[in-house]
Parts: sequence; structure tokens; C-alpha cells
Amino acid sequence: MNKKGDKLVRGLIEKMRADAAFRKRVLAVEDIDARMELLKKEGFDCKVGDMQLYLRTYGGNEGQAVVLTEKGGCNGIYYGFCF
Amino acid sequence: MALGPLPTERTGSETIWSRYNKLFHSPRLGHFVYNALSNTLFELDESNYRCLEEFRERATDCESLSPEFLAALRQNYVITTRWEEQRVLLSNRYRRSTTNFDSTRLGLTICPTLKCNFRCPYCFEHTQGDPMLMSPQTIDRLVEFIKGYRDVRHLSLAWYGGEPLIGFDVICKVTERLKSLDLTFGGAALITNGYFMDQRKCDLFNDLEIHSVQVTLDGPEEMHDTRRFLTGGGPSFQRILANLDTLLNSTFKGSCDIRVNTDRQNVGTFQELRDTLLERFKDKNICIYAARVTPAHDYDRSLILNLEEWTDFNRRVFQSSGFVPISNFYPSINLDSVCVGTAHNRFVVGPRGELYKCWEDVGQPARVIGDVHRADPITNPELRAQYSVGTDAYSDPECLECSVLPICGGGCANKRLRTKYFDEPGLEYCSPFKDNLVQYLEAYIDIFMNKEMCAAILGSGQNETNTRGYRKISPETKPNCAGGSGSCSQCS
Repeated sequence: MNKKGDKLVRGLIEKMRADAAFRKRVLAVEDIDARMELLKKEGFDCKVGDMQLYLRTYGGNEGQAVVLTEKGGCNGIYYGFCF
Repeated sequence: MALGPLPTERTGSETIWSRYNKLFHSPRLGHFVYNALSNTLFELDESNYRCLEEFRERATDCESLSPEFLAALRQNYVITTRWEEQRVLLSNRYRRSTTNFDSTRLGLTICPTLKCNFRCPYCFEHTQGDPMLMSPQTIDRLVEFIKGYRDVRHLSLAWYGGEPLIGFDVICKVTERLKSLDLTFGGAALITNGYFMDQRKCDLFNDLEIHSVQVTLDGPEEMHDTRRFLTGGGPSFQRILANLDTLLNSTFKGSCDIRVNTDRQNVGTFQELRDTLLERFKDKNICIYAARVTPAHDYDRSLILNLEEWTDFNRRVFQSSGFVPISNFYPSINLDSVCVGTAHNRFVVGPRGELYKCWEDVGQPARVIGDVHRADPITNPELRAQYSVGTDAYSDPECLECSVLPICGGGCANKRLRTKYFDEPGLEYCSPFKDNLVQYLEAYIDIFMNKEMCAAILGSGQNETNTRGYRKISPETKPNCAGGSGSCSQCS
């Protein structure tokens, strides 16, 4: 993914997690455009697309392979090597 | 903690801190308690964390906990009784047994040949020079062997070797015969080095009901070719890549898994390979994953990554690219160590019709447990029993005291067998969770919180706050899911 966008979103999430007052202030803004504008003023000039891409990339859904439980007869073990 | 005599409803009724708990604090992520018996993770505020710490250390009463929180802890066996723990463990053991002895399913891993055109130094087989192909007579006997399982309603296959595509005609003949049986044919997986995967074969994969193809690439070209070279030493990377192009541009409807056998030699090149493959095969149905090389024969053991290093590798890869390991970070309730080795109706079939209980035993006469040519095909029922019930962690005092038993189930049956019965030193059969549970949970929590925070920023602006001082953050499990069904987030 875009390294710059990745870094920005990562920084934003860390700040949101660590700083309760900041989190409260950001999430109090109901309109998404206004919220992004506030984030920009706070130094996090990330786009909605960056956030969505980050979510797709770091959302934990990648890397799933076929489990052979039903298909190949090997349950809990992938193709002969334990993981 | 010694188990002592089995608790009864009366003697085991004292409220205790579960031996399967892990209470931990992460400076970056917060306070948590995980219980392996229920596979549940709670996020806690500091106050509740301290209360649990107190309870764990002094087994004090639970008055400082809210009734609602206490009920949640009891429901998820964080605070429990020895009697209750015993009952759940027995239930798990029962589940393992019913899966192991399911007589309605037959799973066969068939090696059309043990011959291989590669000489990968870490390979656990050592019969790559054996030119034998499965004969028509052996195919006949294999079909009779399958018919002998009268209760079986479902048959699934994996093609393996040696290099199975050297025996592609055998694959075609066997599949044709098996599809004509009065069984639900669950299709097949193909484990190949990819070198002989040409257009003609790829076009036949759908007819052969091959639903997934696994090909191994061990890194970018230079790295791969130093590890996965031809007999005699030629390179293989470019040809495999071209064959993957052929497969992924063919009519093949299944999935393609690209496995990267990983050790100290190539651990640093995984991401480069992955980025290259994702770029080359974008929009294709592929999965790239790393698998840990384990000790085999005279392969240099100093190259093997230990479980801690393996955990670190997975975390680093996730942090830099978002890639989650194939086994996920969060423990899975289907990790009950049921495999070909332990299951009564699963076998590996060699080209001579010899039967084994594990892929890693292929080609080793001492590990043969049967022969499809015999009227009574099981010739070594003792070894079969050792694999199945002899590797049962619920019978192992050491495992019964282990805090991750419910999510491990005993680990690798083959390595446990070789360690426990054949005195082979230096094999790791335990789950990586045994010594690295917190690291795995932290990685999961990171993902969970990333998702939650992104969703809050992109959504209505609200996110679930931990106002009660605790909340359950483990993946949702469908009610009554026994694991392994693939129908809920913990076992799919």
C-alpha cells in the first residue's frame, strides 16, 4: 500500500488509542467530511481511501488459505507440515 | 500445579482461578484476561485487572467484582471450579475422539510415485530416486480397499509424492475409478513443486475435481534456486513461475496456494517474494503463506527457526505489510490436533499400496502400517494405535498441566510420537502458543483495535467504549460450533 498513507493512518490510530481526549473530540464530530477536516488540522491529512485501504490491509483478513478439513482430509495441518 | 485425583462434584466445588487463564498487561494495548478453555479474551480496565490479579494471587473472594462481570467470568471459565474444568476437558477429549473415529469419512493422501525431480535439502523424504509408479494392480487394490469401508459416505483426496505430476496418468486413472463409486467425492488437493504443471494438465484439473493446488516457492529467484533445485542442480524458479501463469490463466476454478518453506536462510526474503507475486498475480485467486521448516534428516538444524523466532517473524511481517499468518494470530478452537496421523479413517498411500499414518513417514519401511494388497490391510495396528490414542495429549500428565492444552490439543502427532516412543531428540511438537501466547494475542488485539478505530473514524463517529470496565473482544463463535466446520470466525 501507499507508504505515506499507511504511515499517516497508523499514526492517527495510535494517537486515537492513546489520547482519550483527542479520540473523544474527533468522534464527537458527526459529519465525516468535517471529521476528516478536523483530522487534517490536527496534522493527519489522510483521505477516506487511505483509511479504507489501511483497514483492508491491516484488517486481518488476508492470508487465509484453504483448510483441508473438508477437502483434503488433513485437519489442522496444512499440506503435510504443521503450522 | 499438580492435578491430583480427579475432582468430583463435591471435592472440586471450590471456586478457583482457572489454570487456563492468562492475565496480562500490554503497555500499548491495555489490560486483558484470556481463558484457553473457552478461548475467550476480555479487555479490562485497570481496576478489574487489579481485582483479578488479587484473586489470582490470593484466591480472595470475588466481592469487589460486579455481579455481571463475575457472571461473565464464570460463564467463560476464568473463575471456575476444578469440577467444571474437568467436565469441559472431557468434552473436548470426547470431541477429539468422535472426530478421530468418524467412520463416515475417508481421507486419503495418495502418492502416485515417490520419485521427485527436485533435491530440496530440507525435504523429510529420502526416496526421491525411486522411479516406481503406482501400477494398475495397485490401483485395483486401492479401490477395493476403499470399498471395504462400508460406512464411509464421503471421500476426500490429496495428491502428494514425491512429485505427483510425474505420475499424472495415475492421478487421472484413480480419480476416474473413485468418481464412479457410490460415495460423495469431496475432490482433491494437489501438492506439487509446479515444475511439470503444463497447459494440458491445468486444463484437466477441473475434471479431476482438484479444488486447490499448492506450489512451493522459497523466495525470489536466486534464493529459491539455491533451495529448490533440480536433481543434478538446475534452477526451477522461472519455469514454476511460467507454469503458475499457465494455471492462473487457465480454466482452473480452484484456488492456488503458494507455500514458502521458511527458515533462517530465506526468512528475510519472504516479503520481497510476496510483493512480487501479488503484483504479478493481482486479481487472481492465490494465497501466499510462510510455513516453518522443521528438522529433517541431516539438514542443518541451526537453520531452523525456533517457535519464538517464528512468532517474531509473523508479527514483523504483519506490522510491515498487514499479512496475517495462515494459522491466524488468535487461537483456533479447531486446533485439536486431529490429523491424518490420529484419525482412524485417514491414510497416506504409497505407490506400492503401502499405507502410512503421516506425510512425513512416506518412504520409511519402519513406519508402514498396512498394505492395500493384503486381505487384512492393516499390518501394524500397534503403530496406528500409537499415532491415534498414543499421542492423545489428554493422557499425558505434562500436557494436562499445560495452560494452553485446550487450544493446542497436543500439537504435532508425528513429532510427539517420535519423541515419546522413538526417543528422537530435538523435536518440537508443542503449539507455538505454549510459550508465545501473549505475543499472538497482542497481534490479534492490534488487528481488532485497528479495525474498531478505523470503523469509528469512517462511520458514525461512535465506537464501543469500555464503560463497564470489561468487554469480550475475542472473535465471535457460532453457538454450538464444535470447531472445524469453517462456519464461524474461529474456525473458518
